[in-house]
Amino acid sequence: MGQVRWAGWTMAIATALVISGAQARADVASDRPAAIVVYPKIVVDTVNGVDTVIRLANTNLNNLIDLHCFYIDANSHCTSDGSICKDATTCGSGQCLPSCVETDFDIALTQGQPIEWKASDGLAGSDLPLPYGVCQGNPFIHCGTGNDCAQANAGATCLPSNSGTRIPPVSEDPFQGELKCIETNADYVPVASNDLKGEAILDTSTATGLDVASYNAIGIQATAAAGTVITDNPLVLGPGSAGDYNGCPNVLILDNFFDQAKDPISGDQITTDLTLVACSEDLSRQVEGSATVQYLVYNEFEERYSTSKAVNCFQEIQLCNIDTPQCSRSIFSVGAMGTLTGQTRINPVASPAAALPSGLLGVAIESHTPVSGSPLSAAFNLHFVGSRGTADTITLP
Amino acid sequence: MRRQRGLVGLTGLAALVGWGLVTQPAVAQVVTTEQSASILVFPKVIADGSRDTIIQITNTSNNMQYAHCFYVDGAPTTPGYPPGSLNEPLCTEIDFDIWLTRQQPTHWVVSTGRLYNPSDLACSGTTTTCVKGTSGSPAADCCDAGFDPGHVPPVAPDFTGELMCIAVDPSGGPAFANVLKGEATLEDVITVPGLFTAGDVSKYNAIGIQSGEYASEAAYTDVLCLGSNAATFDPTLCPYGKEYAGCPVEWRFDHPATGAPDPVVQQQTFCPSTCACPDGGPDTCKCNCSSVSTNLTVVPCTQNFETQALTAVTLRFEVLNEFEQAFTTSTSFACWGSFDLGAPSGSLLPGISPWFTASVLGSDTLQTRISSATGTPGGVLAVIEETHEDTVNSLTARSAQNGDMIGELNVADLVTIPPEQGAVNQ
Repeated sequence: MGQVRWAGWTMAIATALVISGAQARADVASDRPAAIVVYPKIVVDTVNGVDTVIRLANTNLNNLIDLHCFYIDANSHCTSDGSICKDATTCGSGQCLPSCVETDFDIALTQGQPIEWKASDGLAGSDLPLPYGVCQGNPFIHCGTGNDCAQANAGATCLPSNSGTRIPPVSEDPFQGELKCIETNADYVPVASNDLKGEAILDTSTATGLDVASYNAIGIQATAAAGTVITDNPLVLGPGSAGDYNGCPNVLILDNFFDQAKDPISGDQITTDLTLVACSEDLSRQVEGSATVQYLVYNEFEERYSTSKAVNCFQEIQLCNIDTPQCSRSIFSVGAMGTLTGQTRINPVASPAAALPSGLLGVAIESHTPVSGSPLSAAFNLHFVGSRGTADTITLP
Repeated sequence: MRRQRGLVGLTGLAALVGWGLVTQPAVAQVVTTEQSASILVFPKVIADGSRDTIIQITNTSNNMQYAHCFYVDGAPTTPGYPPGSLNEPLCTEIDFDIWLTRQQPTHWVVSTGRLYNPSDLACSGTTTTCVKGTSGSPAADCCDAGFDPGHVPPVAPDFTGELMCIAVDPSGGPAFANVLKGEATLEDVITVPGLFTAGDVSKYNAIGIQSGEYASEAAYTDVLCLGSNAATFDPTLCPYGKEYAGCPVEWRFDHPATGAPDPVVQQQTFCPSTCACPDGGPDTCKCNCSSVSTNLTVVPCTQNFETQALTAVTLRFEVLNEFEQAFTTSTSFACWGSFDLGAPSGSLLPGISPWFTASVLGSDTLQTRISSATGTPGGVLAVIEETHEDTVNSLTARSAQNGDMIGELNVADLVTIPPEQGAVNQ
C-alpha cells in the first residue's frame, strides 16, 4: 500500500514538473555566443577593392581558448585552364565546374580577446596582438609554457598569448566561400564551450565609392556541459539538442524586397543576393553537404508561390535567378509579384540520393543601385524556425 | 480511508500545481533577433531629413494577426542643442494599429507612413514605380501595392526614436503569440561629404521579445510583464506573473575602436604607403586614409506609454581590447539614447568616453559589454551602427549590427499601455 501511495505521489509530482518545466531551446543563433561560428559569405576581389574583414572574439573572460577553423573555397574553375569562372561562357571550350575545397588553420584567443583580420591577408607573426607569451616575472622573456619561465628564473607563469596562431590568406583571389571555426581544447579536440562570437564586414572600396555591409556569424551551440571534450568525429548537430551541438534550423525566413523593386526612399533599384551553406560537411573526404531547397514566397497580397533549387555545399545567388535566368519572369521579381516586399520561407529538403543530406544556414545581402554609381548594400541575418528532424554532421580531417 | 483521502488530496494538489503552471510556456521564451516574437522593438528609427527608415514587418503565422504599434520620439526637447540632462528627449508617443493576413509581409517609409487606401492594386505593368510621399494617393503605384496593414501615420519632423509593435488580438489585448518578425533599413537621403552618402543603406533585425503561450484571457491587463523571476513582479500589476521574456543581462558587441582605420580602404592604391608623421618629425608613418566610428542606440525595456514618464537608465560598459586589457565606464540616458562611442570631434551626437578611441586603447578592435547598472529599474535593448569613412575621397558608408545577448534579467520590466488602448473586455 505504501508503495502504491508513493508511486501515486511520484507520478503526480513528476507530471506536475513535466508539465511546468520550461524546455531549453535547441537552436542555432547569431545573437548568442556559441561553440561553432559559421560565416556563410566571405568574399575577396582585391582588383575591384572587395575584401572581407573578419571579427572573432572570445567572450570567456577566464580562459584562453583554441579554435580550429576552415575556409571553404567555393570558387568554380574552368576545366580547360583551371581559371576561376562564374559560368561556362568564360571557359572557352571547357566547362565551369563548382568546387568546395577546405583549408584549415588554428587560432588561440586569450581571455575576452577580440581580433580582426582581412580575408585577403590573414593574420600572423608580429601582426598578432599578442604574438608570443611572456613570463609574468619578467615580461622581456618570451615563453611557451611556465617551465620556460621557471628555467629563466622569471616566475612560473607564462602569460596567455596568441602563440600558435597563423591565419592564412584565403586560397584564391578572387575568392568566395565560407569560414567555419570550432572551439577546441589545447589538443585541438572540440570542446562543448559556447565562447565564440563573430562578425563579417563586407567592404568595397574604390576611389569613387565605399560600401560596407556586415552580418553576425551564425553560432551553433554545444549541448553538453561547458568544457566537455567532444570525442565524436563526425560532430553531430541535432536533431534538436540530442547531438553534440544544436541542430540546424528547419526553415529559414527572409523578408526581402522583390528584385528590381524601386527603393521607396531613393528610387534606387533593389536586388537581394542570398548565400546558403550546408550544415553537413565532410571536411576529411571533401564530400559536399547538399539539399533541395523549397522556396515558399508570399507577397503583400497574401498570394503564395513556390519554387525549388538544389544547393551543394555553397550557393550565392540573386533571388530572381533562383527560378529562372530571366529576372523579369521570376517569382522573386517585383514585376511578376506586384508588390515591393515579400516573405520567403526557405526549407531544405534532404534528397535521398544525396551523398551527404544537409540542412542550411544563410545570410542575405540587399543592394540598392542608383541610376549612376555603384551599389550600396546592407547585409542581414535570416530568421530561423524550428530544428531539423535529422542530424547534420561535420567530419573533421 | 483517511490516508486515501489525504493521498487523493495531495495528488490533486500536485496535479493542480501542474495545471496551474500549464499557463507557463512549454518552451523557454527569449529576447531574440532571429526568431518570431510577440513584441518587436526597432531601437533606431530615424526620419530627420538627412536619413529615413524603411520598416518591414511580417506575420509568420497562418492566422490573421493584429499589432498595436508605438513610435517613441527620442529627439531632444530643444532641437539643435546637444541632448543630455538639460535637454532631455521628448519621449512623446504616437500609436496606431496594423493587421496582417496570414504570412503577409508589409513595409512603410517612416517619414511618410503608409496611408490607407482600400483600392490599392498591384504594381502597374513592369514599370514598378514608387515615388516617395505618394502613399495613399492614386500615384502611389508600387509604394502601396498590397493589402494595407492599416493606416500608418507619418512621424513628426526630425524624428529620431524607437518603434515598438505588440501582437494583440482583435479586442486589443495581448495576443501572446510569437508571430512577428521585422527589419529596419536606415538610408541616407542627402549627400554631405564625410557625413552622408545619399542612398547608403544599413539594416538590422528588429529585436523580438517572445511571450509564453498563454491561453487564458484572464491575463489581459494594461501592463505587460517582462522578466525571469516571478517573485520580482508586483502582484497588483502582474497578477499572472511573467508574460514575456526578460531583457538580457548583458549585450556584447564587437566593433572597431573610434578612429581606427578601415583596413580595406587602407590597402587601396589611392592610399599612399607612407606619409609624414603627425608630430612633424623626420620619420614616416602609416597614412591615415580612413576612419571608423561606432554609434550605439539604446532604449529601456521598461516603458510607460500611459504616463510617458521617462525611464532613466545608467549603463555600465566594460571594454576589452586586443591585448586582454579591460576598461570600464558608464553613462546614463532616459527614454532613448544614441551615442557615438568615442565622440570624435565633429560628432553630432553625445559620446561616452575616450576609452573607445583607438589612440587611447592602442587597439583597433574592441569587445564591449553593456549592462544596466545595479539599481537601474530594468534592462535595455540595443543596436549599433558603424560609420566607415574614406578620408581621401570623402566617402562614407554605414552598416548596422545586432548584438549578442547574455542571460535574462532577474528583475521585472513593465510595458504599460494606456487603458483605452488595451483590451476592450478588461
